[in-house]
Amino acid sequence: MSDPSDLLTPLRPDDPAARPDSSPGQGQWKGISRRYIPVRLINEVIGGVFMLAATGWPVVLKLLGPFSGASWWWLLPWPALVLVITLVNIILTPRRVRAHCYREDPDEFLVRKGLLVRRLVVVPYGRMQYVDVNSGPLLRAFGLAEITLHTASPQTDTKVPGVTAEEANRLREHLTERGEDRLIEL
Amino acid sequence: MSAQDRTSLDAERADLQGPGPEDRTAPPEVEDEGSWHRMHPLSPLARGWIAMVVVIGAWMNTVVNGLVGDFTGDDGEPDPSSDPPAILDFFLGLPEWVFYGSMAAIGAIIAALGALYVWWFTRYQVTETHVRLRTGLVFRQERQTRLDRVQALDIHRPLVPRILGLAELRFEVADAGETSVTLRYLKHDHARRLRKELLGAIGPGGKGGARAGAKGAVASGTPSPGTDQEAGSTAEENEEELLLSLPLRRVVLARLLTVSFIVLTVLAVAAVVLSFVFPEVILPMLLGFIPTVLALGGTLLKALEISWSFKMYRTPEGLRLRYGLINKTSQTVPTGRIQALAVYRPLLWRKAGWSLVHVNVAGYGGEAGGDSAGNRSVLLPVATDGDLNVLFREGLRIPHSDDLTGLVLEGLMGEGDDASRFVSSPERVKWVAPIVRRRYGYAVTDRMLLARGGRAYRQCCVIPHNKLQSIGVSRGPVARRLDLADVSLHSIVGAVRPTIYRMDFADAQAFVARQLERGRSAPVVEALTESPASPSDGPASPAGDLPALPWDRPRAEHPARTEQSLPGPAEASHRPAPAYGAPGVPPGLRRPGASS
Repeated sequence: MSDPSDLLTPLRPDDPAARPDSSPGQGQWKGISRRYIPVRLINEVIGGVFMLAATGWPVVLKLLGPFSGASWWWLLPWPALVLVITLVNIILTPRRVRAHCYREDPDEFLVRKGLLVRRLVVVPYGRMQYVDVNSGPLLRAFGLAEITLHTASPQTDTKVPGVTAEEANRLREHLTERGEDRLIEL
Repeated sequence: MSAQDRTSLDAERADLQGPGPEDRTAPPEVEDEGSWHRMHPLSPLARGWIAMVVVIGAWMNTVVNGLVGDFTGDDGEPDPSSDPPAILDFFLGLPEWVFYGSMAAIGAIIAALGALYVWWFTRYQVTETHVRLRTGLVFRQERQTRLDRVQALDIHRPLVPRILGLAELRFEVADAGETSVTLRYLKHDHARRLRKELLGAIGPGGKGGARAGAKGAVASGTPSPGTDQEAGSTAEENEEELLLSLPLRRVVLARLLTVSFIVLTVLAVAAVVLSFVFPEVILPMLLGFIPTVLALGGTLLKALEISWSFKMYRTPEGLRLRYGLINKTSQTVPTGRIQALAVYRPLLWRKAGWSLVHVNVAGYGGEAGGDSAGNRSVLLPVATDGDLNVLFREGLRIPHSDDLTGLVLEGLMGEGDDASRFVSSPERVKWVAPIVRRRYGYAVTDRMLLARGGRAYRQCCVIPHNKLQSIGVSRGPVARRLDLADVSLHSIVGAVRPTIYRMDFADAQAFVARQLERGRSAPVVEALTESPASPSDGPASPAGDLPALPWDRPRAEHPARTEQSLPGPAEASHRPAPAYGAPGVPPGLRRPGASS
């Protein structure tokens, strides 16, 4: 895997995470792994197939006979909608993955994500309660893991999916260490 | 109080005095440690009274029916078309009421045995560091909670246990939406004594064993229906100092001035009028009203439940709330555990100047107006401005709370920027929120962060700097177009979710940067000096030169962190954290039974 910085969508000035050029000593934005793109695509396809099955069975029944009386106008729009949504998701997936990035500053952990609605979450290390590292079978097959930093607030959404396993371990150690240094009681 | 009950109480007390014979059930790895206790013997009755009423009712029903049937000669022969096994013939030959009656009796006995089983195998243990609850024999479950992680200790008394003189004790910890350990049920006095002991260990009152002195005995409290006042309970009430008591008139009036009550009234009037005009539709119409009336009535009843005879006390451990119409609850919010506050002022209360206060306390969880957890997030159901002041002074431990109260009132009633300490949204927000635009805004004092909003249902959230967990900034397409951003201030799980809506983006960036800076230094600022709120976050500099963001500073030192060993007296709950798993043994904790 090459230099992660080339994965990044350049931060546009209107991004919540936009900033002047970073000075030395500050963290760099790191994108999540490019290998996460196929994982996400597979997920989208699986989800799309399920939704298609859930909405498309009347069409099959019409073709086979039992629903032959029903109008196409009632049957077709739903699977068509699912198809369109899935297609849009698939097309946007690479950009979404590239927009998802994180950064370790001396005092805070930052995560930004989102294309249409852009979000930035800033977590002071002292607020960290624990760090979660998950990897499902699909993620493992691609050598990836998902890391989440939990505070006492459920609104703190710092899920970073699709970092490499080594990076996840490094992050976990690093975050835990910094969190313990600065732990603030509730 | 029956003699039998008295002896059982004595037995329980003897049990509390020290390691009893049950000690053998304690696992060997637990070294120190008090004995295991059972709940009060009446608790199965208190828990299962509904089932018992149903069973007894059914039994009575069949018996009475059967007797009546016997007298009228209709003795309910079993249906001849069914072909029961021969063994059952004898039973089926009996009159129906005997058959069903005995079935019900057997059911009742089984239920009673089950309840006894549950009671027998439910034990709890309170040690110096933990409270443990062990249930079941076949499916054994043991829950334990570290006492220094307990965020609140509540006593709850539903109707039937209250009649029996019992109470349940709830241990709330952070990180769990639900109550982590519930002791259900204990003798009311025992529960209160236990709570006092434990709060002494948990709260700042227990630091160094300092009990903060017995306050002037305003024992004005709550005559408990549990009748037997013991030394422990009166001593406890001596330490309570009444801060607030909501007059009944205000409580009732406030309920009358709510949307649900007005809808209810309108419906009632409509029903009466319609029944005069169209007498024939009365029945279906009434049927149609039933769900609405039930829902609204339920809402009203719940609101009454939390505001009825509402009293707030100061105790050495923190704020204590007592309230309840049917189910009496006594809630203790330890000092320094209030994570965020929201003050609401509905349209109809504006003239009277009343507000409703919700609070985030770790462990309560839940959403506003949800289940019982939502109820418990109410800190003040109907407050005047003076009550708010008392609450801020006592609950947040702010010496000069008038400033904060003034600022909150400004947050509730103020609009726009003019001569206000609130920074409000820029004018271009009118394109997305024309009505509420002038209500959006935030203010910063040296200890608190305030966010206001709402036009008809006005609100103002207050969150201390040192309770802020993290900050989120989000911008949708419209916000990007208008150069705006929403900043959400993440508090712990709870009913209060402060958000500053639709700020100028540059302003938001500056705000986030400064807020992070403040978060670092907050524990030191927490010293007991509160200067008048200063608009330290003035309207941001012109968008041309962006203020330095947190990530552009040179690496900061952490004087705040290293000097944390000097917490002010009010901040004693911020004792240096026993990080991840170090067993912090709270000082001053005695065995529960060793009191009095």
